[in-house]
Amino acid sequence: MTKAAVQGDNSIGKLRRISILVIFAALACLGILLSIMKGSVEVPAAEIIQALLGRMTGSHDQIIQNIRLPRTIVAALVGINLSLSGAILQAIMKNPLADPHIIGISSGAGLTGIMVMLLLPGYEYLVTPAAFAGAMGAAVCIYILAWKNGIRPIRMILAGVAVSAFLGAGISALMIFYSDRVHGALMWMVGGLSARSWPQVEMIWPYTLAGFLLAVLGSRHINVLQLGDEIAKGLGMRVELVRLLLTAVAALLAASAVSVVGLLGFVGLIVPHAARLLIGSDYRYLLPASALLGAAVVTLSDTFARTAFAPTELPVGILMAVLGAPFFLFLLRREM
Amino acid sequence: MALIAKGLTVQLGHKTILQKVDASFADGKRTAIIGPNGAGKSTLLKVLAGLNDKYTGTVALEGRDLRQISRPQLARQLAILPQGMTAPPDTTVRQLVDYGRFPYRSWLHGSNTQEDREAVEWALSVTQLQAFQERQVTSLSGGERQRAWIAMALAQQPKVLLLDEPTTYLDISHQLEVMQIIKKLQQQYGMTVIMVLHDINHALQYADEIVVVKNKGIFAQGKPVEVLTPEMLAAVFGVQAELLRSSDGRLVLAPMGITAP
Repeated sequence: MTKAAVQGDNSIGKLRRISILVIFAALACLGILLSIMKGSVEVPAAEIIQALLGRMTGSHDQIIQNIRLPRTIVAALVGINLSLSGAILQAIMKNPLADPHIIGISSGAGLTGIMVMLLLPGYEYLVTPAAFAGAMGAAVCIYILAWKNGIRPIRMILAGVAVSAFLGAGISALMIFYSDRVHGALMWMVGGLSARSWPQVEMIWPYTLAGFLLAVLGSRHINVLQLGDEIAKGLGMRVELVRLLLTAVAALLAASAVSVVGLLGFVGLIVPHAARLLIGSDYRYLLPASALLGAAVVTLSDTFARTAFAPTELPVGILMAVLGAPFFLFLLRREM
Repeated sequence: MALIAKGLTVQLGHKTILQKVDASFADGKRTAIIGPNGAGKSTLLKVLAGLNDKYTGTVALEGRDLRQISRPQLARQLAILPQGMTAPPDTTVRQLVDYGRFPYRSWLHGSNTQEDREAVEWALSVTQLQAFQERQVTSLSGGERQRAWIAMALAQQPKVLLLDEPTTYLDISHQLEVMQIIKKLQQQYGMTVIMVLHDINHALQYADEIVVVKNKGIFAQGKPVEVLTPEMLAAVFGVQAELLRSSDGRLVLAPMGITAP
């Protein structure tokens, strides 16, 4: 047998795909469990399971109910949203570097979120809706700017870079003019989960549920889009419509995540890549795999960021970038 | 199914690519489109396939205006293979061929029906790829890869198959293999084939009809022996050629050189 034949036989079988999904699911469960257990007060695993079953017997009920559990849920949902968003965008933009930043989610949310924090102190509750509006506004703006007889992915990416630079200038200007109030804004820029609780869970979960269902529903379309616009059109797909709908799903997923935790980077870029390396590029499997791995990565990272330097709590965004960047370089050298 | 273009004009920005083109492609025949680089061959093929709808004039598929046919409906009757296809590196041959069933599925009903499986099996057997179906497309040789893409188009179960230079980059035996498959599709399954070809001798040997595109328009259309003459080659390509007869009686065009400008 030739070398090519041996390589070719090495395709990813269904069994392997399902076992990888099971492993990712186990990792996500582990992340969630550790995130509830670990902290300044250690909660035994048995008590968590009791509490989750609704039996309030332990002495840590308050901590679990009001602090750890909601924060963990936010972490998992944010991980799912950003990973799904990145996975969708990488396929429909036909670009491995695509992530939620590319459609202006971060710069849009960043500018409006920071505006509220710096210009309207005392109205912190407006940060989330303002950031959401800013993220969606920037995404729509980039889509319109990139439109010329249809969307070409490369035009969209370049429009995204330009709009993000423009909005980034606004962020920098605000931070310089209001340098005395900049601390909260800095935390927001990095992305963190501290003090996130039930209101944030309520804000994000509908988007996670709807986004996941829509993405999975569109997974066959995403698969065909990976073959290129001409092939997809030839196979009878309304390419422009499908790309618009999927971009909207990706934007909603990322915007809801970013408006809750700030500009958490790298999850949307790296998790889909790592999942793709293991499970392949069939989106019927890649989407659930990215979601599970995203939940695992963010819950585990947040647990580590919270406990490793106790009593100081590191924003999870810093840890993600510190771990994410070298991992990304490793992937880059392996793949290209 | 016959395809007929009338008064076709295509503009890209201010540049005219095709000007008032009339061409017809007969039902159940193999038609080759030939012409110099940049003459508008690929553009013509894309308009005929409904990939490019920025044109004036009409294209009719079996008498129905192409603009009146919905995209999925068109994809069940007509398949096109453009040039330079790429698939994600881990795509297997079977997966790729299965994508050809896309126009038969909907958002909610993506399941694999008996009909889907039969169409995929048929496409794999016509292109002799059954033994390769679990292989990754990227691990195949150029000729096998081209056959895999053809199989994807066949899984659409089209009545009309359009191909843009299906033998480019292939060595001579793989070129003939692909041309033989195309011949079989027309002869055994009555498929209408429209293909852009580079090789004049492939056109001479494998086409029933020739359409010569030059200068944004149709230079000539007709039977290969009538159209593919040394005079036409001189006028369209600026090439001097001689018409020879091979030992089995087939005509062969042998290029001799470039005519003096």
